[in-house]
Amino acid sequence: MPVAAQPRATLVLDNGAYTIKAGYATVEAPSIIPNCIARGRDRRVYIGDEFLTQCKDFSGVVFRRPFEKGHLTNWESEKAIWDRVLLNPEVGFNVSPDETALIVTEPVLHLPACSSNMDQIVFEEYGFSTYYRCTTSALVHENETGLLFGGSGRSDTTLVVDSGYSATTVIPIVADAVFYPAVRRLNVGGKLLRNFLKETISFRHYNMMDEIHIVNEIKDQSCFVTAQFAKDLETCKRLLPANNPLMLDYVLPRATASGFRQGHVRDVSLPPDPDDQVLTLGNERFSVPEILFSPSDIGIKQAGLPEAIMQAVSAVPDPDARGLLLGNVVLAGGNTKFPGFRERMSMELQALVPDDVTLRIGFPEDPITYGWQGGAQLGQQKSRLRSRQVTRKEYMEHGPNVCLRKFGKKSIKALE
Amino acid sequence: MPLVELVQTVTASSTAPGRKKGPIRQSDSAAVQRTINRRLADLERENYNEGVKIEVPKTEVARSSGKTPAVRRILASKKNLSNLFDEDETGAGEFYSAAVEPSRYPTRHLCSVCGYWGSITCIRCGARYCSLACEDTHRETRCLKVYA
Repeated sequence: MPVAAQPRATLVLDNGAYTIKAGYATVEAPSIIPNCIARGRDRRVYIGDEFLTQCKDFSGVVFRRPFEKGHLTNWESEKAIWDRVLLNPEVGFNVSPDETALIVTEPVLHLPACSSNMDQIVFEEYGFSTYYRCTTSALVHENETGLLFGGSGRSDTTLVVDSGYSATTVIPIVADAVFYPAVRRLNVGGKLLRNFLKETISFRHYNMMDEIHIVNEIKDQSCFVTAQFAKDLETCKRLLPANNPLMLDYVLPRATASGFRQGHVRDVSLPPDPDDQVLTLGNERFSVPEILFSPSDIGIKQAGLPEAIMQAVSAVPDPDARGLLLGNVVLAGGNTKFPGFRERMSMELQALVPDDVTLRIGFPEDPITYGWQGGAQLGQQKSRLRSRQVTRKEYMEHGPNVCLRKFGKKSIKALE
Repeated sequence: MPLVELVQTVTASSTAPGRKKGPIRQSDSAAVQRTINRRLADLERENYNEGVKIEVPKTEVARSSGKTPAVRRILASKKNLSNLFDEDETGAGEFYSAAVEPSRYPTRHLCSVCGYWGSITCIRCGARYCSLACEDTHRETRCLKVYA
């Protein structure tokens, strides 16, 4: 058996249900690649980044995702996407797995069987040199989180709130390890918000039940979190659209003589174009993200995110750790990017926190790539990574269970 | 002049259009909850049309894949999440026990038609609305028609 050479490069993959944030540990920022296989109306199939670069008409596009409810269950599609990201020269990574160290993320409450499938694919199919699997929150924790609080350095205790596509999870990390008994999952994610907006628009304005991608863009461009829900609801009820500052016109995408014009918020200073199809949004703009703070609005029997954070913290037995967790709350994930999210979160959480605890909430500049940034930090600290990773040699000797044991899960009997 | 007036037992306006005689059929709480659950399941879907199947395109790399039997088994596996939960009860148990608990604060209700405060409950299906105008829209469109 040849001696394994030291890996020449470290690749960090933040493998999310919506996008993969991929990049070598030495670069500044990752490439953000849709983690899906899409099919356009013309039956043409796009894998991963092809969807954003080559698809022009987003109307009627359907998606196939490897993730199901936050678990990576379908490797047939994930492998097709990974093949393109890792090996396709168009994407540019040109990974030689046998010389590369890999850092990959998985969901927090991943089933051991799903984790093990990833381990086996990484070593037996791609043949990476070394491998470290962890949660995105663990990578967020690797960042210099002190910078978010106006200081510097890292703490060994962080409360990571990861609000992504599948769900929103609150993950207490105590003494550098994820404290699994206190992890709490709120079943509200970007997917649910998009589908709720789609349902609402289809009921009140135009039928857009097939327009998944377009509604997602509408959500990204026009939704915001209000700090005064009752007052804004009154405003939208009482005032006429012309006088209502909260209403917004969204121009739907359409084909023009010079190609496709993408959807956008209407610029009120310009005269309206009669060919444009305009969608007027009122209280949908803020009642959609409101679901993160009040899931019972649509019948989900769970508390909102601030309360969920307190539930997670209360489940940590050590009272000192609880204080430290509330002093190091970090918000990550795409849903935290809604305008007004930070202010509303600070306001609501401050009301729930005990008097003797200092609450500090950190808002990274880019919540979507913050996890990857932590991975890049870890990737550059060779000795720290070396103590945690599994090498190909260890895998060949001991089998897939070595990954499960080393990365903190119970081993699977069938693989012994 | 009769002192006792006949009290009719209808529970809604008898001038509502298209209503047949007799008391209005009410949904029980189990049926209402089933409707809510079905709608929430719909909100978790990826595509509107459930039967969409996108075949993974066969590329150069795909043809040389499946180097070991374990990998071939994983790639060919058609198991979905419910199969995996059935196989691993402990894992499924941990997943469900990590769910956020219900709120301590009272639920607020929004009109299912326009989004304002929904103070009135539809007797037939349990949905909320805020005013007579929204009631009419609700009766015409969604009452007992979707998911019923």
